[in-house]
Amino acid sequence: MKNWYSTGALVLLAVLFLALTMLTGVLFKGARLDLTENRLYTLSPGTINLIESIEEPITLDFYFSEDASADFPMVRNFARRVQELLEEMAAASDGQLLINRIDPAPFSEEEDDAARYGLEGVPTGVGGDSLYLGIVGTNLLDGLEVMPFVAPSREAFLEYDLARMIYSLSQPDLPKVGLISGLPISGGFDMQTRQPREPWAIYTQITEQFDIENIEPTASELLEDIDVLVLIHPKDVSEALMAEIDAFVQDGGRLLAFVDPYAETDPGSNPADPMAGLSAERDSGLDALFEAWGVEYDRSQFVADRGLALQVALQQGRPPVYHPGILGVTRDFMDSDDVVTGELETINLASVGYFRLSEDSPLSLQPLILSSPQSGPLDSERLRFLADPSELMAEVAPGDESLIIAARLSGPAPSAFAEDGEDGGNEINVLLVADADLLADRYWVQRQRFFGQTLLNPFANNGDFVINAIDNLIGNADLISVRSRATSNRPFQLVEGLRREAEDSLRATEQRLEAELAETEERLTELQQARGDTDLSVLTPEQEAEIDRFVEQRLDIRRQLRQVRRDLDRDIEALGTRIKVINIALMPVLITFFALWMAWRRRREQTAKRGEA
Amino acid sequence: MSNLPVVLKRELSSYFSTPVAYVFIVIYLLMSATFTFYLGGFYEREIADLEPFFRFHPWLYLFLVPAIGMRLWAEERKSGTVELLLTLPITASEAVLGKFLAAWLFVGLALLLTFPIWITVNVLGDPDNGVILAAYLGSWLMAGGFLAISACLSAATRNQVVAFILAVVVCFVFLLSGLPMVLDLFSSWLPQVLVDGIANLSFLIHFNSISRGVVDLRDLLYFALVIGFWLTANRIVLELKKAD
Repeated sequence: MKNWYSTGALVLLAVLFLALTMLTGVLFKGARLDLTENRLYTLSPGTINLIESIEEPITLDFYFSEDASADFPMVRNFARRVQELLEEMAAASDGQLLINRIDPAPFSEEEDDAARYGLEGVPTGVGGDSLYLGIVGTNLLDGLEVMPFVAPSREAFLEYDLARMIYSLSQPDLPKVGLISGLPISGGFDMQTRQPREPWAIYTQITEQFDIENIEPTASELLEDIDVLVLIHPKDVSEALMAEIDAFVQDGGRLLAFVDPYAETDPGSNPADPMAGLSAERDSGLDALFEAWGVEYDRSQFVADRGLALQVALQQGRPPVYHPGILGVTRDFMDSDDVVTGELETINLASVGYFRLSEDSPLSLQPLILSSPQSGPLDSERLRFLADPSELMAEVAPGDESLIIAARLSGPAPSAFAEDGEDGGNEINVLLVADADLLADRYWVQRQRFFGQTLLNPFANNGDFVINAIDNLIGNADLISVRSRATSNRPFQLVEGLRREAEDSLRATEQRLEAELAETEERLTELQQARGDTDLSVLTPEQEAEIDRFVEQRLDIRRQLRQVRRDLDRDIEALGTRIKVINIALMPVLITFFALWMAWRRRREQTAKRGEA
Repeated sequence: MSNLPVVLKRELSSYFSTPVAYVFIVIYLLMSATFTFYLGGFYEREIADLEPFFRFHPWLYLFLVPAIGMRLWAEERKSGTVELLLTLPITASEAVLGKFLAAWLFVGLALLLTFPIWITVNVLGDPDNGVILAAYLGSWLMAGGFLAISACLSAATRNQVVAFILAVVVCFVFLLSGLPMVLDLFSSWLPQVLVDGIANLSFLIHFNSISRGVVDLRDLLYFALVIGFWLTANRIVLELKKAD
């Protein structure tokens, strides 16, 4: 009888267990402790501020296909993350943010809705059903924002994307962008051909996305109600306008500035006179503002970079040469955690400057684009009348670290023009880029004529960079502070250090050996010239001996180079072996010794006891 | 529960009076380090986290924890000391809990002795130590789950080998229930809610969730439920088998 009773209890227990595990999965959402260093799974204060300031209700419809995703636990997991993030946002919104979860099953009304909003259904193969994972946001004023497909690869920017969507739904008016440009990016009139010029591709792109107001550099005041000011190559900006810009930034206005120590695309003051163009001043800066902010920027120097140098073709038929002033910056040298540069692959720049923060500056400078460690500043006068850029390659004197080419500048900034008594000190948000040439078509896009239409084929992300930057600056300060939550890259610094050290010594040895090689070659030529005749087919015994020695020496030098290269790997491998041995063997050996010692002690105690007995 | 510390202490000290404990710890440390470096490629991937270390824990526990748990009751029943134990002035619940806690602490000690890998990763780079802490916690909780299952099944038989095999099989089921190939078997004929419920039973899903660095109340409750359920079952099985 008791057996039956106990068996019944077991069965009951099992049922209870199953029910409780399912129930806890549904209840107790959001109660958790985020132990990650960057609070990867917690809403950032910027997002919370943004959500708390929603005034009119916003509805987010989260479309996710249940059936079509059944076989993809990874996608389901990600969808759960999206759903949880949405719910967490809704919980912080005090009822102003409504979340609907919608399952657009095949042939349902919901699927039609999804298609109508432009959501992208991804075919899942076997059944052919489309998998939807998108978000449609609406407000009371017919505002509509759509994320056609929330890509799992953008998980790092998920919070930013959602916050941005909510922000633009909570802002009824289109943001206004003021543009002050010292470069002819809006086209204008070509004096030589007496025809209107086409605007730059970048100008076409930003006018499509934002409400652009052009402001002349010679104007004395800014327009009212501008959200973002874009300043390009500010060469002839009037003092009055500069003071206006300062006041604008102090008032919380956001600035995107492109300054350049040598703007190759600057046509000069008189485009009809090419000689005047050659000697024209091509540098620009924001000296007054930079000085107030404590930003060090040298108009007379450009960054020469051996590591990121691009090849340029000088003449047809001649092989292209590396130009250390024209850089192709790869993603390794861009901030992958910042939403402006996070998803970019490459940006092409020409004759760029660099920024540094003076020690007493109250602001913080967060790099977005860096040069490679093999770079150093050179006098920008070198670029004028430069016949062979490869000469510059040898002149680069690498400093200790990368130089900052583009950066975010934020913090409490002193005003440059304020009268005594009002010394500014307001939080500013500025994005600085030490190059204006990156805006020119030739560095990032190819135009193609196609049935009377111009197609743009970008080969670098310069355009995306500018759009991202404006887009990001348009958002309010809270949105700007929502950074990517990517698990930041955590390399083995020790191993990297070893590798760098070895590479440095490799390069030093390489240079020394190559110099030796060149010397040998030179001796060979000298011998030849000393002979003074032109018959190269007959060699004197001295020459032959020298050639033999040369060949041998070259072999020897190559052997040494190989050795250095092997040593590079050997150090790292040796460290690896040491670490493996320590981790695998150390503790087991210690424990074995400990166990033996315990056994020995016990035996001694026992014999002692026996002896007493 | 006043006798719990007594049982706990007796059990714990019994581990270290035989070489078995040391052998277990040594095997555990050797295997986890070897897996980390050779299967997980910890050094070659050059990323400062302990993912290759924790990745193999579920599979290590699958065999090592039942090896610890199998003797908890089966041994006592075989040598007949179980009657003696239960006639002592301690309750069955105290005995069940004491034995379990002692074994769990013992596994925890083995886990703590893996600290050289934590030092290593901090020397090599700059890892997120919060994530590592959470993963250690998750690993220990998961070991508790495996152990509770093993203890209960150990009480069901007097043969340690049978107890071991039973425990491995049941643990395997608990481990696998979240994998897509298992879920596929159910997804065609069960409603999605139940399929998600089955997926929710998996040790793997909850362990992975904690080892991201987020200690979610749901994951903690899950492991608490697993341990609570199997220990209660353990208690009932002891009752049931009293007659044998």
